[in-house]
Amino acid sequence: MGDEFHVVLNDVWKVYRTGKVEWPALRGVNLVIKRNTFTAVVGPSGSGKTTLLNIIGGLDKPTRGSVVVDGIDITRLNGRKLAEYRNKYVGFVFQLYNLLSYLTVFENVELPLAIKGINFRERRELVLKALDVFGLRDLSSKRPLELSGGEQQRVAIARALVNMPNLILADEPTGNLDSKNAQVVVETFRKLVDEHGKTVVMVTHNVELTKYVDVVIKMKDGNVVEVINQ
Amino acid sequence: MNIYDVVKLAWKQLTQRRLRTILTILAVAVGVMVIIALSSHARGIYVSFIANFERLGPTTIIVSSTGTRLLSDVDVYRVSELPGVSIVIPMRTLSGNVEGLNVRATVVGVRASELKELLGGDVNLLKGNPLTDTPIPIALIGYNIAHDQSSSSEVVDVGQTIAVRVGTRTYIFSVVGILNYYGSSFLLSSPDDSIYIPLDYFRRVSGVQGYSVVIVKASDVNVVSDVADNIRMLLGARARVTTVQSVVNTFTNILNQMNLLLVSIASTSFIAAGLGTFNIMMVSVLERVREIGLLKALGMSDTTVLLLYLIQGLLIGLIGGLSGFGLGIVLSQALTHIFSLTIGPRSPGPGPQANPFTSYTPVLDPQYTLIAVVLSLTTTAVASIYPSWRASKLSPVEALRYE
Repeated sequence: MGDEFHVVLNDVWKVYRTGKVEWPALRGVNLVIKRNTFTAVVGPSGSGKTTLLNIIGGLDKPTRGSVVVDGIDITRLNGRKLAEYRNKYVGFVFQLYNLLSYLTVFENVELPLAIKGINFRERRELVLKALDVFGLRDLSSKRPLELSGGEQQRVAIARALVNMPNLILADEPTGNLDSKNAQVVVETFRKLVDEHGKTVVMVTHNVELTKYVDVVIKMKDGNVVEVINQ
Repeated sequence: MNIYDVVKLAWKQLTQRRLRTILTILAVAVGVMVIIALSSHARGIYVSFIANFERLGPTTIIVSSTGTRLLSDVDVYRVSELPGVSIVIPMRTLSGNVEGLNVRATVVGVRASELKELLGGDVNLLKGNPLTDTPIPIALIGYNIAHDQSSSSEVVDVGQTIAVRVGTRTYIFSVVGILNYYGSSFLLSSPDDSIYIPLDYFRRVSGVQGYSVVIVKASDVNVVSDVADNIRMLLGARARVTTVQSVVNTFTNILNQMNLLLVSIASTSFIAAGLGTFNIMMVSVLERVREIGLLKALGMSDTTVLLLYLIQGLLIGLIGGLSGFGLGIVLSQALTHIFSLTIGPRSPGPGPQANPFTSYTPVLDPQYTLIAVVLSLTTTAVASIYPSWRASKLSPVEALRYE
């Protein structure tokens, strides 16, 4: 089971508290995500999609339940180990790209490797390789604000992949892109699954894009209401 | 993440908000600059002062007559017979005006053989001949008497005569020699403003046999205090006995206290620098909440985030400290220039100056320089602790959601 399933969530609850008011974002989610699949998480706003993604990515801790990724129960990790987990096991892609404006494309992509403590020569090789995969080498010395939205998202994907994590978590990665660029991004994810054996979990509002994925997880009110294998 | 990469990232963050960073660095630099400038002036005064007294020598005791009764030959003899006394130089001094030049001068009647000791071991002649004990109206004159103060040009030459008016009387001397530049003197009148004449001639024409000042040299630095006490006992209230050592000690104490006070006042500017750094760091953290969230999402640990912001504070302190050091040196030189413009120009010639505000060269004080640089680093580091801690404790998910 451990090998077949990349991510396993068991009775995961996430309750937010504002003063005395409690608001459950996830209500006992049980879910498995198979290795080497492209999964889309869909659902209306407030259904818990992003919370689910954050918890799988170790950005947030569940109030209850366990989350096992690559055989590691990440709910038991301390802050330092969790940071290490995010660096080694997960690649994040965000809707707003989250590139650092004062760094060049090269330096943005280099960042996860620098955080990992890899030496500069090895870093340079890996960054150039990642930039080549996404056709970004010519843009390596440019700043993010000099790029188009599509180019920025490709840089963000290159950054997510440069550390060679097996799990890619994308939160509305096409939310700020036109349909053409959105298609490029999703096709890139598809390629990562098919050709590089990665597992991609993508939160999206765009139902159109679900035709590219293997599994669609429908969420509502903090619960998984349907899992469709395509 | 290795430290080089953390420093590089910290530097890039600082340079992103260039103007704000420069202003904070300046706030730190001002504190360091003021401390360096003030302490180097205080040190300069001290060094100049010590150099002056070293010329007199640590074994020197100055005995001056008080009131109208001068010290007699008997007094001089009894002092010379005291244990531990090596040399006794009796002198007669009067203040007057050099006519035609409008220059204040001290006429010093001294034995030619003792002038060497009085001038610190060497009669440094610019031109002419040394003083002789011939009882005729000859004079060896100081640099400032022979030269115009503003243009430095020579106004009196060897062989010329000068008239010095003292009270209602006028004395005329033939100039046999001109002394080189000596610099100021704290206990005795400066050689540059003095006219040295044979003691016996002075006594004859003035009709006064006593001495106004007697310079005593002890045989050893360790017996100076005992010799001074014995002279006090011998001459009682008729004389004021001052040792070079006691003056040096008193002056050093006063100067140290003043220095400490000045530096303490200057140090308060670090409070402003600290608040400035705290402010910029807090603003920086608040502006970069999303970015901190991203760095954490990419795997940066809390400790590295803490370090990233602490290093930014330290960089501000380091650059502020170093630039303050450079600016402090420039300011100390500028102050010397300002003093000379507002209080009076430097006297011509080499060596220390007669004007008390331009009579020294600022000297970098290593102790206060170190204190200033350490203060700049400590202030900015301390001011960065809380903002850095806040940054490190941000929840990545909340930080990424931050608008």
